[in-house]
Amino acid sequence: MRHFTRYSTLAKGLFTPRGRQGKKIVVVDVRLTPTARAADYFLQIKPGTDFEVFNALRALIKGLRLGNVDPGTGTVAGVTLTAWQELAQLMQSCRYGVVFFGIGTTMSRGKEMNIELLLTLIRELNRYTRFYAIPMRGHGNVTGINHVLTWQTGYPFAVNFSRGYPRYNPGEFSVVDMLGRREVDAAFIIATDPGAHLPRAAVEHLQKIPTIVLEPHCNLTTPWAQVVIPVAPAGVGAAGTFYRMDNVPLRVKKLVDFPYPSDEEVLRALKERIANA
Amino acid sequence: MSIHKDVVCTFCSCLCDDLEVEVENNQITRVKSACAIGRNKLLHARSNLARLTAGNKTVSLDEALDIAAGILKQARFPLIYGLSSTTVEAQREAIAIGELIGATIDNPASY
Amino acid sequence: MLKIVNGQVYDPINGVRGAVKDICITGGKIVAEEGNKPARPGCDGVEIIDASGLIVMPGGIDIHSHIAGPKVNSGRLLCPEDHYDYFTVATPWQRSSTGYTTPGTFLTGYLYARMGYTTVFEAAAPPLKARHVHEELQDTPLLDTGCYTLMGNNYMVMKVLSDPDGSRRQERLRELVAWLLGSSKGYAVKVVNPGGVENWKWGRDKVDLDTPVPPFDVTPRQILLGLAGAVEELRLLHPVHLHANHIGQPGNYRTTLATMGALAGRRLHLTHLQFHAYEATPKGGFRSAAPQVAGYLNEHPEFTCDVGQIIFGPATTMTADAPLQFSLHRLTGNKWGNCDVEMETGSGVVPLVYRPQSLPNAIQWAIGLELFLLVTNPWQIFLTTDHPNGGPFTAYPQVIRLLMDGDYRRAQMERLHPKVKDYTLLAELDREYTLEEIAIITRAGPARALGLKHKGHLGAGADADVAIYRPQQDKEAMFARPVYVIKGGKIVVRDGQVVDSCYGKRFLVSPPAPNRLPEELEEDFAAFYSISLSNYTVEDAYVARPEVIPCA
Repeated sequence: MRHFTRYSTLAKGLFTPRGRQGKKIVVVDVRLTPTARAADYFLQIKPGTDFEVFNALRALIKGLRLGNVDPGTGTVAGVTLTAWQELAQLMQSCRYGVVFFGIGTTMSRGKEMNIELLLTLIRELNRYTRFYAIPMRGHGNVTGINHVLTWQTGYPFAVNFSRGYPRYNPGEFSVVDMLGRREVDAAFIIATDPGAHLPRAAVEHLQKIPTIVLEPHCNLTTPWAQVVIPVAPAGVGAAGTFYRMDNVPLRVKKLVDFPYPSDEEVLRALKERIANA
Repeated sequence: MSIHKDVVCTFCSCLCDDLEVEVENNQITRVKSACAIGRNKLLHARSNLARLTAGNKTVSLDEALDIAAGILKQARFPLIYGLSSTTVEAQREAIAIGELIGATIDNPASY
Repeated sequence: MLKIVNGQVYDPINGVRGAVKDICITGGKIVAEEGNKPARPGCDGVEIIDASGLIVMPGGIDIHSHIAGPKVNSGRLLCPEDHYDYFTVATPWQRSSTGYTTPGTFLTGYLYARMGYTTVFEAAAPPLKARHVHEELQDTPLLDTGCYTLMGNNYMVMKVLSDPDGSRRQERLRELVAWLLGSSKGYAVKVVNPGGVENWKWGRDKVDLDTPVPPFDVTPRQILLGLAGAVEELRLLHPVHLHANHIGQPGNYRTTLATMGALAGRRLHLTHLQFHAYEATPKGGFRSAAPQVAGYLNEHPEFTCDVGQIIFGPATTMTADAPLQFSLHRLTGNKWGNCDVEMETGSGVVPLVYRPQSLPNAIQWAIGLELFLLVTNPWQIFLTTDHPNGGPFTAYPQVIRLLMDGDYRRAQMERLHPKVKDYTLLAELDREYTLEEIAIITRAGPARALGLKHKGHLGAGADADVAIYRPQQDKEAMFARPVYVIKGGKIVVRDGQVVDSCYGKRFLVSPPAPNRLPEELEEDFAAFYSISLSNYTVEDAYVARPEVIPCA
């Protein structure tokens, strides 16, 4: 919510002393959002056209003609070619550009291929200027679990230990796919609310199997989970490390006492119980 | 009353770390500098707490841990999922459990 | 008590050159032998290791390796293909993990220990993300560790250096350096391409020692001399740890010599010197400048270096030298990621493969070995591959064989691009390292350069870190698989296998200066950093077993 004021559009920096002035904000989205209202340019694209958009921008930056798009009246993803040309020009000529991208890009048609193409676009822009891409992560410390999994196992998610060492295979070992195929026979949910976020088929399978939940508050998963172990929420009732979406680690504080132990304490006790059983 | 300065808000991955939080009698009474969501989450952190239950019955933590350990040890293809709103210190322990029971570990970054 | 008896001991710091000698260990430390009383196994709680016919050395010390922190983890993330075939399975005393050039933290500890190494320094920690470095070091078993704090392109450092008032400048800089070290829990000051990373961020070309760098118009020379002065005034044990300007560029040996010249008579550690010893050829290529660079070092005993030997096979390059990573990406077409760390530094990662049939790679390989053979004093040159930039640290035994075995070295040269002989003189060098010299470049020398008086030797009072090897004709096999490795008095490796898991210490310094940001910079910090000052300093919780080494 404070991304605008603290980190992006309004933030003043050593080389952007005027804050919002002197910056150009472009929003590409399928609908007019409050963010889009605050932008200098808003390009409203058709849903599911991310891949097309990134490819068109790559072509324009390379000075290539888009063969099947009329230079005068043509459109790409529902937006005029002229607008894309202006955007390409702006990206190429800025001093320092950043693309913030969110789940609209990662979860729409094309999925990880959209991201691959976006990163290719960013890579190519670096031949002209400084350009970065930063994923907008939702949950407080999803960046942290990606980091710790990577430094311990080599992989950021979808890690399987059934052979005694870490194996990585998104699609085979990713939550939506595994639950969708009904392969899982017990689930341990920690500090996340799958009842609110996962697709219905995945939630329905979770409801059929023994599911254990570690969670401070009642949510859409706790009512049907077989075991619910309440914990003190991180950053309120327990201290520890969180990683910001741009990978900056911070120590979160304990502010008040809770009647419950922290995740860390419960998990350590459970680990010892399993190891010694 | 105590005042905590430069508090890190943990409710989204912006991790704004300039909050000021007033605590009185173990209750958060005031939150400054946070966005509306962060402020509400902090002010209501101690309401709507989950209850310790197993199969809809209230149990002790010891019993719950025994039941959970039993489920996880017996499972042939267990899944550990989430870990997106907890500390790295807790995440480490979850990975260690995953290794012990031969689980799959995943988090919301995979979909 | 643990007693290692009848071993042939190589302990260069104490002048022991292969004499048969017993080593006694109590409470994690090496203690003086009590008379000549023969110890009997099972008696008085004494555990005996019979080292008859075996070689006993202090535990190995790596002075420069990238094993923990943001860029290392980016490397792991960028290259899952590096991990699939290299893994360790969980056992009761060992965690599972993966990775070849970028092993996970657990595997990093096991692999180092399995070679007889017991102390490793992470070479580049950006202060803003130092917490991440320490988190990974906390998860790296069997090793004592420390990290160097990046300062060569730091805005506050450059701003302070732009102050025209000389005495105020040096005082502020001293305070700032002490605070950056303290905040990041670093051991030494690391400088990477001073000014060059910042200059590149402004879209400008490479810097020379006297190029003014925006936004404060300070020069690389000012950065280097300023930081070296601060390090001396703070009496830090390790001098400035320098990754010089112009890495990897033909003709860069002139910059290297000029840099050394600027600091002549003062201490300086030049890291991965192989990458900085290239003479330009008229056609734009490069030839070895190892003789010039080694010649200078031979006349200047105040300098130390590590080599950054390249190893044929896969590597993952990762450095705070962001412009280098961008140009490597452009050169190879390989995948790449760069990152800016706010006010502090850049960095990047590019995987690549060194091939013996590639002429540039063959020349680089030869230059590294030439430096080893041409620097006459082994106390000035240390074994590194700049892991994983020149190749993985697991290749150290191979490098040792190349140094000790001239026939093997010449045979390996036959595998190279045939023209390598036109650009290097390695084929003419006959020197072979002795076991004592190997003990110096892998243990005693790094310990001395780091100012660690209780490391790198086997005298009374030293930490009981010991590696015991079985002598073999094939020195690679010998050093790849110690018979025993003892860490802090505990046997952690037996016959090349990890048998115990413990976690080591973290080395810290406490320079004589107030550990706070100079007041004039607080406003800048509040205005331009994205976090609060009070959340910047790495808390004590991230160092479970600190050991503060007193300043000189």
